[in-house]
Amino acid sequence: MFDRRRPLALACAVAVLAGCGGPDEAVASHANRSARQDWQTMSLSRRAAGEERLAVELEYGAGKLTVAPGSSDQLYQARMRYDASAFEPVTSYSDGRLQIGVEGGQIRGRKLEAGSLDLQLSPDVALDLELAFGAAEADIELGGLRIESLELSTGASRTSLAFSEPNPIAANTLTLQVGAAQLTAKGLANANARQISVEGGVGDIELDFTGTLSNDIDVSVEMGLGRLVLRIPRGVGVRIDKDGLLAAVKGEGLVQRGDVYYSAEYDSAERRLHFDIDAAFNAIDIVWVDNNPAG
Amino acid sequence: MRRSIPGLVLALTVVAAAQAAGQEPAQADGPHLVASEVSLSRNDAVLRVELSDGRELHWSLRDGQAFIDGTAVGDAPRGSALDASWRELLNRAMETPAASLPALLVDWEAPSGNGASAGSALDRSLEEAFATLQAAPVDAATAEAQAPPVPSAPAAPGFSDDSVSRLVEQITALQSHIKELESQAARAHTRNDNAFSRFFGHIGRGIAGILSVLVTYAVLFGIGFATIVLGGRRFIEGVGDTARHATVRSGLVGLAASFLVVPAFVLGIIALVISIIGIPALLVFVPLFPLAVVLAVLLGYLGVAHAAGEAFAERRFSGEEWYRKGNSYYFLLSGLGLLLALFLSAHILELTGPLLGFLQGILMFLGVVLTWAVATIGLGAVLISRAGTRPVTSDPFSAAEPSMEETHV
Repeated sequence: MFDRRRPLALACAVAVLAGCGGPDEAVASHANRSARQDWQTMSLSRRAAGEERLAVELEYGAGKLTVAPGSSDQLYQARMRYDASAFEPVTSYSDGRLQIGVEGGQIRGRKLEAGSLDLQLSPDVALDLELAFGAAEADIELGGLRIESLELSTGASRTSLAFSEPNPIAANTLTLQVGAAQLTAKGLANANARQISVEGGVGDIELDFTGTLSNDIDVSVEMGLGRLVLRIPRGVGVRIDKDGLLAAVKGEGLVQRGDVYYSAEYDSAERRLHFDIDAAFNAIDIVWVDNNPAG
Repeated sequence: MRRSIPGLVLALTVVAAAQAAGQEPAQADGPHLVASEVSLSRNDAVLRVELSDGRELHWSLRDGQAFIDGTAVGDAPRGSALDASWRELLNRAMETPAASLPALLVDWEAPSGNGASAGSALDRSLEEAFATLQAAPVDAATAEAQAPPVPSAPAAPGFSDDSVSRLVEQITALQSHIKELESQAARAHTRNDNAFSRFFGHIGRGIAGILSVLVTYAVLFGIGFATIVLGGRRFIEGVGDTARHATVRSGLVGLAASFLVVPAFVLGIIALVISIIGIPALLVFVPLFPLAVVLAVLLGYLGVAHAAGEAFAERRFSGEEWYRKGNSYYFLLSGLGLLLALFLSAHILELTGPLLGFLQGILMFLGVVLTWAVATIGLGAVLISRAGTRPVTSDPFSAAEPSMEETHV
């Protein structure tokens, strides 16, 4: 539910800052606040011991989040930096399930931001990833990891998701839920998924399907207000079923039949992408790009 | 840095064992280190390890004291040589994979000076714990690639251990400061994102709200239009006249009806069931009663909208203009507009952002209250006028002849 006090408080704070001092005072105030915070750094790692799969539940409120492939001999390795006066770390591992992240973030009406979380995962185990984060700047590189399923859900975030190398196993589900966010997903062909679901609220979403397209992909997109950019390798057949209000599709070489758009070489294409787009007040841009199998 | 011979031997033994184990992983049957957790803050410097046999060990400096598995072993004041050396060790441990960690820990030597006894206890404990462990089964190439950072060069002549410790402490403090600055930059990005999303969130919700009001308006007018075209004008006008001329009475009747509608439905079902012969009638009664209530409320709402539009037109037009615009379609169109104007205004205000949020809330509240009042009065007017067939008007003669069809344009 929308908190109407926050913009008012923000406006008051801006007014007070504008009236009482310049940048030096603001920096000093920030330094004081930082001094009051209790920064803690935590590092954890677990050796791989023949595990075949790992389920990861990551919940992260605010800060900078990085997920990347790690070394083969480590099941996972993580490093967190957080304000211990505002956040509680969550780290537990049991029976192939890792829970990691921070909880909290609100002290006496003062919202504080977390530091960072850097998680590295083994490329040798099948991964079920549930990544949920709020006001975070996330850089998620899953190239080369064995992704069996991915559920990514974000709040007001700026997220960069990349599959720079092919997924060695077939992914069952790939679900991206983004709130008021900016999401860039690169190398989705490398994800090795047959179905990709994207749900967006308000913001910009860019889906890049370069990489090694080993099968046809059905992509479902539900979006509110914003811009959707689909970057598709030349030569891939594309069909777009569009439903929604005031959503315009722009792209070269598309043939429209009713609410369905086809690429010129759709019938003869070796691989195809099927988009089912339900959007309102959206600009949908189709951009043809040269494929780079490495993503 | 001074180094005890037993410690060096143990370190070499662990490293050698690690390399041997890399060539023959099958040897790693005994307990070995499987997980580690290092935590560093202003007051704490904690190392926890988990062994393959299920044991968990931890060493920590906390609040000026050293602990081994939760037991205090001596003083370790913040800023002392022991504190600095231990924090440096844990900083390096953070960068070291679990497989290579034992060698790093065994290699550590407690500094002399303040906190020496606690340091010796920690040193001995680490050596005892890790000397008995099997080395990690990693291959030689991986072990080489992931070897812990090379220990810093011995201090130059003239530099005491304490000077080095202070230098390390300052470097640690500088690193911490740099990280905080980076964090501030990240927070600034996040704030920008929040402002962006809040701004467009309001516009999105505002536009969606305006559209929903317009769609509601179109649907209600469509129903009213169809009703009039299909010969239901007199019902709408009858209900509207009743609502205008017996507003309070309609409101009270509607209020009572809204309270009684559910009991009447339940009692009706019970009566039909008890009568036994009425049981087949349940098939008709159960679906039709709620439908009739919904239709009555809808007719009432349209009737009141018609009355509102008529009253508005009476104040606005006269003479020739009244003849051109004085028709049921116009009354309905303008009346529905009046009734939905509060909702529309609220959603238009929502476009302007959160600062006028309280005004938007008031308008929404008033809109809901108005809608409830209109529905209640309309329902009462429907009941009083018997669906508009016997309207209550100020002119007793018009009530006697209610079925005169008009031919408005």
